[in-house]
Amino acid sequence: MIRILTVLLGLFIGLSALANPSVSPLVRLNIVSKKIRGISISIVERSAAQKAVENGTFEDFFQQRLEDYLASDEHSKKMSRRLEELFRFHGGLNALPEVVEDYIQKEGNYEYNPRLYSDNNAANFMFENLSKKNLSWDTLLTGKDYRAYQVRGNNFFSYSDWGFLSAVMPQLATDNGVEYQTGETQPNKGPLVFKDVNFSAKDPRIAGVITTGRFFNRYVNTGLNKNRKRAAAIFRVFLCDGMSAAIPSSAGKEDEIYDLMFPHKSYTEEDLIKSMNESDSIHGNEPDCMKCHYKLDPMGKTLLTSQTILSPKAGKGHLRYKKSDGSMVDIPVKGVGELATAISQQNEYASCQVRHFWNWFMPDSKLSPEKETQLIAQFNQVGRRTNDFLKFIIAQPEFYSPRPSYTEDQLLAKNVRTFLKRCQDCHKDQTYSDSPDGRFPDFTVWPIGGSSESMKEWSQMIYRVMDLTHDGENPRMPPSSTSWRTSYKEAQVIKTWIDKGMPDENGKLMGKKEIKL
Amino acid sequence: MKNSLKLFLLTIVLLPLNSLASFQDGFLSTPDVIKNVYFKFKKISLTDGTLGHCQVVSSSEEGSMGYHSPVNGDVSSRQPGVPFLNWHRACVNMYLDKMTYPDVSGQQKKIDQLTEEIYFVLWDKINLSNGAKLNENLLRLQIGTLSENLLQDHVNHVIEWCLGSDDEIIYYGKIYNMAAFKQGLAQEMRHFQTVENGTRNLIVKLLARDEFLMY
Repeated sequence: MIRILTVLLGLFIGLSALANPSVSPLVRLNIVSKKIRGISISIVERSAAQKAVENGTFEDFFQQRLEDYLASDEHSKKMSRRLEELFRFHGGLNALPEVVEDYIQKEGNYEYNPRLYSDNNAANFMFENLSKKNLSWDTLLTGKDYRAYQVRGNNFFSYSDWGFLSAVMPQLATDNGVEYQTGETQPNKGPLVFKDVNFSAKDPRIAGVITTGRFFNRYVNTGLNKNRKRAAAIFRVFLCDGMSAAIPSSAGKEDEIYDLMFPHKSYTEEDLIKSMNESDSIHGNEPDCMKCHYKLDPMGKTLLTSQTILSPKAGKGHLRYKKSDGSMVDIPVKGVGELATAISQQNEYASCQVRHFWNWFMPDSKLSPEKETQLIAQFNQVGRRTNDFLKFIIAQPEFYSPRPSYTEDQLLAKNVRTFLKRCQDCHKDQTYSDSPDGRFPDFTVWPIGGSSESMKEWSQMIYRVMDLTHDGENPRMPPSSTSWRTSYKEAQVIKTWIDKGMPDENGKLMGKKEIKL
Repeated sequence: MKNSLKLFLLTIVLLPLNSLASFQDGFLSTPDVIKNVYFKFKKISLTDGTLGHCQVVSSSEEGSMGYHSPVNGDVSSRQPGVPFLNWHRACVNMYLDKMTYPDVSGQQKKIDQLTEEIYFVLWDKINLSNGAKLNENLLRLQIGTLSENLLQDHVNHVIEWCLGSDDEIIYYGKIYNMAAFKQGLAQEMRHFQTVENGTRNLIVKLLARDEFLMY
């Protein structure tokens, strides 16, 4: 009952905000234009808006403009770019549409320009259609309709949607009267070719952006990772469950890792991996690892038969994870299609998606639990349709909050906190014998360890392990066994921050440099 | 066994949440800035030769343009830095060149709709009585011949053309005294000889301000 009242109150507040924005009409229009389209209002538009204000018709004018903005190509392109970043795809050719044609002509073909491919593929078409056609946001996860592009002159299955889907839709390989075998190189000249393909709503092999060549190419599967990269990306994007490769507390024998990565034996690494079986299970006694693997492994199995191209078979697996209250979600699914449907029905999914919107449009405003509940209710009420939900977002007063301006020290503190968040991702929940509770403190909660004294000690530790005395030339952290390498610039940021006395975002100095080498 | 475990772990590259748009802290992404300048200058196309890089960002430039890393979701730069601003100012200058480039004779300046839009107030007040069409003589006019009020009106108009109305500018919280800001820019105009040079400097300066680059 209280929950329902909270939602109703939230909706009332939200709708009230629509009629009573906290900024002047011109500012309101300009902010909406910049955030939705990425461009400011023109001088002509400004003049028309001013007239509407004088005539008392601004609200109608605003609503009409809002509809125009939401229907614009700029909006759908911008949404596509946001999603590229969310999925961590490499951005497409960041050029004006008018320039692209000229660019294509100069380049001659698509073959040597993967950035053009980045704009013309099934995933990006889906990204743009979300806003262009006001589709349900769930389409990203559960969509079954694609525009499949053929990429000329490229290894057939590497980039082409046709190659990617050829096992589940063999007729793609023979369309246009030309048959290409998987792996065969095509002629590299000619117009861009695509075909709209549709799968049954219950097809268990198909799941929105997940089953696109772009997703598969970005998160490559091997016999070693068994679709865990893909599972991890699904957890991150759709359930906001970010994970980091844990360094087990009992680790430290890096040579052994390198031996495995570069074996001095006759057989290959892949063969070595494939020779492992379930009885070699390595997960049973490493709690640091099981924190992720208990949920990654069963999800990865839904895609297990798909390597580079989409398999015609649906793998059995589970959607398995622990909720924040400790209860376990464990749903058996057949294929990534059923997995996607199961995810879309979880509260964590809806919560995660509204947080994406919040972060995109109001990144400086704190999202309270009450507000989040209100957003989820509205997200569901509008059938999760992209633009309809965006209208609600635009009606929130936070949408118009001025951006805070930062001093140099505040910006430094923000950058350091972002950096330390990455350290935290690995070290969280690890045991650390020198601390009172036997665990690592949260590096993003300052002062680290709870006191100025512990903050100083940790800053000294960071200085040493990152080798900041020598500008990070020979660091022990991040360890060389991980893929993360700190840049010179990052080392300078941390060094400057410590040397300046570790200012927080309020400019308060948390300690002076006392480095014991 | 343990080695296998470690190797499995190494294959999982999972990274932080909240990958935001290119450039953070409220700054538009580089593609958005490209679009804004493009629309501001009435869709002038710069596809020829070196000018084209103002309308398409090459891979080699991405580092200084605040792009996010597809590897870990981080942005290369949270805010526009010196390399970006140098690129941006150079591009605005190229648009201005294109807007009023010398014609075949090399003598006359081409006057187009955009030029008329920018110089509208100045021309309107000078030629109120005879209604003549705007021409290059205005651009060559010595700033020293303009009255304080006329120059200020022109500056105010250019500010609005670049950044918007006073309340739109104040919204960003970078300027608290609009009158002093406007007067300061008018005084700076006096450092230039001709109306064209002074206005050009003004536009380049204004379009590099946060109010233009932020959302």
